[in-house]
Amino acid sequence: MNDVLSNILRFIIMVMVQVLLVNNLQVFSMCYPMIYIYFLLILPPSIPRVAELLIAFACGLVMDIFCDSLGLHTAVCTLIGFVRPQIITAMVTDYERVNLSIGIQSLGMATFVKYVTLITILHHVTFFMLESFSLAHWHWLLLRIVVSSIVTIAFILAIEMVRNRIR
Amino acid sequence: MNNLLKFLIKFRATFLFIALEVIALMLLFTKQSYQSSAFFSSANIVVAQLYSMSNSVVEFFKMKSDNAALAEENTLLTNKINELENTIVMLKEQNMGVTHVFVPAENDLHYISAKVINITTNRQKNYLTINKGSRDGIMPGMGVISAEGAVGVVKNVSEKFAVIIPILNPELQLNCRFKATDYAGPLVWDGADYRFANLEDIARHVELNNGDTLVTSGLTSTFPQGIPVGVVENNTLNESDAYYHIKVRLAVNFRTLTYVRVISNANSAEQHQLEQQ
Repeated sequence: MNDVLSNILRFIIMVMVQVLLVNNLQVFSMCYPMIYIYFLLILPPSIPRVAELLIAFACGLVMDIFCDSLGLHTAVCTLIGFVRPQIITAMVTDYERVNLSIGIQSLGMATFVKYVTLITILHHVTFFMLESFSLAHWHWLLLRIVVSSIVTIAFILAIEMVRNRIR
Repeated sequence: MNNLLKFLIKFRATFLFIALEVIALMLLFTKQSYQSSAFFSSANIVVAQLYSMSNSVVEFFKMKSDNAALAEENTLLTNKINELENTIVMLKEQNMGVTHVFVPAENDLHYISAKVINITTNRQKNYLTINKGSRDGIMPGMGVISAEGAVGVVKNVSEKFAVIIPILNPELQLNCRFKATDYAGPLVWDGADYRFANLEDIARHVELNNGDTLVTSGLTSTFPQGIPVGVVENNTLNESDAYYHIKVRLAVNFRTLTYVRVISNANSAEQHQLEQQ
């Protein structure tokens, strides 16, 4: 029960931070970091797959309502919700410890960075491809994906480190 | 039957994933009902309230530059009023007899002032949310301008809020023309830079220079004629091209956009009805 509550709280906080702070960081046109996926990244792996899909779908829908991009975040988040369990199984050897939670502590720094990078890049590639839905400005698209991914990964790692330090 | 059930249960996550993904893509690609509903956009009351709350914090920091811009616009308007009053006096003296003067139908306009509470400029499809809605008389399809020039067109409207498609969204193709030569073409944003857009369909026989001013064409009832849109930044014309490639520097700075005016055209319904017949 406590776990559910803390996850709901984390969801609200991540959406607020994304919508009210990060969306306003419009320094460069090619930089659109989406740090709210941190919420999806560290959902406990013990969660049932059906529940995870529904949570990811809801998370995307809420983001879409805030960003006026109906369907876009929803489609990408649902994809992340679907592939995440498989990525975890593929990456993790010490499954017993990870079953409790996902983070730097349980995965170790190197694996956690790999895990975050993989999912972030998957998310950003599908997001920006769906958003522009053409390869006419492919160099621009590539630049957006690369810059936004780097910023998102940096943000997520920073948040995770701060969270670890506090704990 | 039993086997089928077992199969369905075994792959329930995959089936759910496919179903959810189909729903999401339908939401994304069907343009009609969901897209225009105010609930699924930032005109949604909860979302818009949140945005206006956060905006009231940010607003505090922008106040100084906003004040300066407003003061400048006020001076401009005062000068214009003065000029127009002088013209009226002059005209009255010239022909005392004329009593019936009609305002041209397309100029029967009314402006609704609104504040921008949320705006993006770094997306492929940008939107902005304003703090006026249907109770203030705003309806989908109305044009929106700022002191600097044309901004966009109203998309979704809820009771107190409205979502606007700005020029920075490929869904909107603003019809504009050269102030000097009257040649018209659609202005399309390519998703790259919030300061520039492209003017299309200008045939190669048209003479143009960098620095030429573009204004709204007045061919639709959304915008009156002559509202500034931008100036030509650079233009290229290859040997084989039938049309120019024209890069336009937009008149409005969308990064600092704070106050806008929604244009309510008293005769737009009449014009639309006539065109439908």
